[in-house]
Amino acid sequence: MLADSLEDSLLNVARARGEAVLKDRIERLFVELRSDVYRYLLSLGLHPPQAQEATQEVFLRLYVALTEDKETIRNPKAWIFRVAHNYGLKVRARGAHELPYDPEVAARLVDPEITPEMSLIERERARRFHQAVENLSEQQRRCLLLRLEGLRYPEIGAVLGISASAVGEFLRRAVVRLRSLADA
Amino acid sequence: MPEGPLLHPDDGELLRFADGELSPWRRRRLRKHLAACWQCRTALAELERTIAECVRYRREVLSRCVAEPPEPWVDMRRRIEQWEADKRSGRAGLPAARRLWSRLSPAWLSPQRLAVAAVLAAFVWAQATLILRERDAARPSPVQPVAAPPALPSAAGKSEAPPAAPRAKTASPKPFSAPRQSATAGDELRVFALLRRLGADLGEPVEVSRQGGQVVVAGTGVSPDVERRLAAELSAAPRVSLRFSAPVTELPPPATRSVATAEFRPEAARFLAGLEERLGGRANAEQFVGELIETNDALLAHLHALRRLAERFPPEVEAQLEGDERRLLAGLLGEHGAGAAALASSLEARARAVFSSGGLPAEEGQPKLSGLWQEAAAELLRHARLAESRLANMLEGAASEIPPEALAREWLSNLARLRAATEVFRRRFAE
Repeated sequence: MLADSLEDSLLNVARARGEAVLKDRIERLFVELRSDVYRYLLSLGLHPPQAQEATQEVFLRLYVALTEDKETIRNPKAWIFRVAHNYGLKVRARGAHELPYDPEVAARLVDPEITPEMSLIERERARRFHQAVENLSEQQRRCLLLRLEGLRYPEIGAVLGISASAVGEFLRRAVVRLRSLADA
Repeated sequence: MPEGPLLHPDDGELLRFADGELSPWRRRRLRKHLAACWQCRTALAELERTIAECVRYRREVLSRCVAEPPEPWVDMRRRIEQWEADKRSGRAGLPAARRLWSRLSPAWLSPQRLAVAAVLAAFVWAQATLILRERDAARPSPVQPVAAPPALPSAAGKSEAPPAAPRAKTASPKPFSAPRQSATAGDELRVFALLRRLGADLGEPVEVSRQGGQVVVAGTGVSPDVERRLAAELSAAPRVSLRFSAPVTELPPPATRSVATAEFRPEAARFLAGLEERLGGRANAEQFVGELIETNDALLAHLHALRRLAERFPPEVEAQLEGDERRLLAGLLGEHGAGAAALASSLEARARAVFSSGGLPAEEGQPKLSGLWQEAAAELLRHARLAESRLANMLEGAASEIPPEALAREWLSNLARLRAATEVFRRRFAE
């Protein structure tokens, strides 16, 4: 009886330690990735408050998936972007009556207060590159943004629900379209 | 196997090389080629410059020129602990559900708020009744029912030509209704139905979305014929915006995948030599493998189209559709479901006819498939991707240490599961 209760308390201590370590890891991941996830959610058309709330929700879901659902997650970053993508689309679908958020990047880019150290030429070059990225198809742009976040082709495919070879093709088309600007 | 000269790689292969996405075998071949070819080294350097420009764009534009989060970031540890405390007290599931619950809690429902809600509800009810009456008065004749699914290739032997992508027979979509302020889910659905009718939803790089109150039909490098027909059908449609653009450079012709051009590990080469012997020569083996790949691609095109519909019409959007729009959606599910089922069956029959000498996989029970068609579509695609990766490994021997014969048995088993799952989907959602 005593041994059982001792074993139970030891298990509780181990579990509590495990959860504390896990919370630490998730907190570190959150600090490292929250801006990237937030930015990606803005690119899906979420408004800043929605994107911020969704970002926090995704990391909480990561904790729930690991503790409650006992999910095995080999690549937390890919998992985070996959869940962020799906959750972001749901948020957008729920708010389908309102216009998707436009980050107005081009307008901010020419604002000397936001980019004080950029010369006029650099700003113009960045504006043209941004315009070219905006003109990519939705799938090409999403593949490119996720690749820029460091995801591999199969991981991007898992986020977007397409095959890795389709990811390669979308990226190829995106890069070919952007190449002329990069070489300019 | 002796290493023959490698032709110049296209941009896609160079990009996969730069991204570390090529199999070790192809990477080694390409590295040797690059060492000898100035032209391809320059092409790779240009590609790397574009990648560097993208990285700079992320660092200098995206990271600095988007809106800052409106609130300070939460302490995630504290938020997790708050969630745990709520859970212990039985107050919370996931946070989103908790917030909704808290908004419906009695504290939030003050008498003033209830009064305002009642007035709003009465107003909305009156408006909705008015709109419905007007719509009923102006409703055009109902949309024609979706035609029976197209005739699809039956399970067949090796001599049969690969099944062509089934031609869409969806009835003409209902004309776009009188101008409203914003495009609806139904407007978007009618564009999908039109794509189906033109056969432009199977592999054409056409994307449909709703942005800024319009249905945006976009595509880069769409075949001129499809582009012309889409423009003819859609240019006059209200709330539809067409955005087609040509690729900056000409796209190379699609790579021909055949026994002769694929790169093999020695085990894969032996396996294919056995296949040639079984099928009576190299030409027959090439034709057979080509048919497998074509059929697999056609099957994946249907499943991607289904997945795309699932993505654009999740249950909450589907709920906004009206009666005839629901029938239109059911028709699209029917055509893609039937197409996928027939192609999966054809693929399995071809594969069994040739690869089953090593023993047929045991028949499994009825595959489990979600009760929601949106989730079931995603599950089908996962089954198909698994089967596709087995096929690729078996034919190219690129990334697997498993002998091709064992892969063939696994592939047959995957195909059986995929075929059964597509049948379940067809019966459950597409009839």
